[in-house]
Amino acid sequence: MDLTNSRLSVSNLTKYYGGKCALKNLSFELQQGRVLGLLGPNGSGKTTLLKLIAGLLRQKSGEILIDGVKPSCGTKGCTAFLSDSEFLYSWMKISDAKSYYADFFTDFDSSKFNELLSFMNLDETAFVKSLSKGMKEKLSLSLSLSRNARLYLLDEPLGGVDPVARDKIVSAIIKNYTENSSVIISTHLVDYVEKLFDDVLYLRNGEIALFGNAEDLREEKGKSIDEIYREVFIND
Amino acid sequence: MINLLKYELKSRKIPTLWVVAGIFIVNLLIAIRFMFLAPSLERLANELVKNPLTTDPLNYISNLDPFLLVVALISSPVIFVFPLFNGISSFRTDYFRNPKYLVASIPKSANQIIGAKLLITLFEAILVSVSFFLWFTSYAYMLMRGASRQYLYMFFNFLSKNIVPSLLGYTAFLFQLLLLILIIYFILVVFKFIRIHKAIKIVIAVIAFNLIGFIESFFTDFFGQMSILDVKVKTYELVSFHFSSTPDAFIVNIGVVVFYISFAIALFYATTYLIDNKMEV
Repeated sequence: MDLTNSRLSVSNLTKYYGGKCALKNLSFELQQGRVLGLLGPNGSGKTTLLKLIAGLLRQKSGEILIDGVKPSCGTKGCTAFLSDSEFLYSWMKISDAKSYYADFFTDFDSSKFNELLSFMNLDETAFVKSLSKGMKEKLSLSLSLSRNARLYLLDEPLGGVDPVARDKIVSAIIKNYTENSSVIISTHLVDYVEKLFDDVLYLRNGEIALFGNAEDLREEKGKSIDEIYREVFIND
Repeated sequence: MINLLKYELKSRKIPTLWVVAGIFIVNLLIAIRFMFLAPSLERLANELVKNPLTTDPLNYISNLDPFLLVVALISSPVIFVFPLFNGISSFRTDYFRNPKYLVASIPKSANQIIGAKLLITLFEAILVSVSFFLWFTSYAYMLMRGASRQYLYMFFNFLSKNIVPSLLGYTAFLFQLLLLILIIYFILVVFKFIRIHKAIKIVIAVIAFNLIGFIESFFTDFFGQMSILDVKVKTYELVSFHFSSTPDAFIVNIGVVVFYISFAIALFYATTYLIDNKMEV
């Protein structure tokens, strides 16, 4: 890997929740323009890792650098974090959420958001609280992808949506992804998104079980990323 | 900062509008009731003109309409309670409920976010105070409809004498409101780190709140006893339509003022430091 183009650098990252170790001595690099699949069973530390990179959690030890800068107020301006939880205010309409993003994120592209809204069949005048779970997921993803961020952190973007919506979401990610940005996608639905991955990181109990170039792993093992996932976690 | 203020206002506008609308509706109902009391009011106005020094308008009003006084007594704490409640509720929504993921992701420091919350709380307190002030002013107007120029002059004279202490008192009231909110924010943030049973957390939070109150009153008494720090503030009155200073003056202890301001600044920075560097969402 070319380390000079490192978008994200994680070294010796350790995180505890009380006495429980969630991430243990994690180290990896993500290059500019690449998509990393973050895979692992429930409780393996995927969300914790994404939240640490987004600056929402604090590590016990180790270092995270986004373009050479530690997670801070400044990196939030260039990092788009998609939480797997609902995060919009109940009083908001979709149009309010759009204005909110436009007001706080200088990289937010309103016309891109409008395109994504029509692609996802969402009505701008609808109240956020009136949307179904799947529609909320589509809205959250549309908001995140409408930013021209340098690093996208997508936590379970396909969770809780129907297969048709999943296809739309994957298409939206492909459509909006640029060579200048890097993406980390955490998911259980590996077969839906594995075609997007350039690199794959398998996490088990907060430690790296397997990490590498997706194409190399496919060739080396003669299996798809989904099949390797099953192989790695078969006894978990 | 402007954007933070805008969204803080947007997310708090519904309860604020309800409270202000509530004050005006009650105001309107009492004004209608007042119209039926017009003859008694005229009698009061004449009495005040005849015997301005011994007549107590409050006593008259309570005789005229006890309902008015009861409503005023019940509703006036709203000026303090409503912005306090709204300020705490907004903080809890932004840092303890689901929008925390959104708030924690925007490129704004806790200084700016908490600063915006305090400014909007201040705005709400002033808005509700103004609504009450208009209410009482309208009663004063109705009371004085039949009064002579002499009584009006006396009334404005009374107002002008009290304007400096009233403004200082009101500023102190607003400051106390913000300080109380800051203490509660600080306790909420600190207790987010402590992983113990919720019931025990509440008990310890109450003890911590009282402890901060004790420290506050200890230093207030400490500085308050230092007469060297006392400053005399003059009051003014309207004489022949010109303001002139009066022999009356009241004391402000500058040590207490500096302590309170320093205490509030320290609480503000301690809270925002913990949010930016230690708090997890």
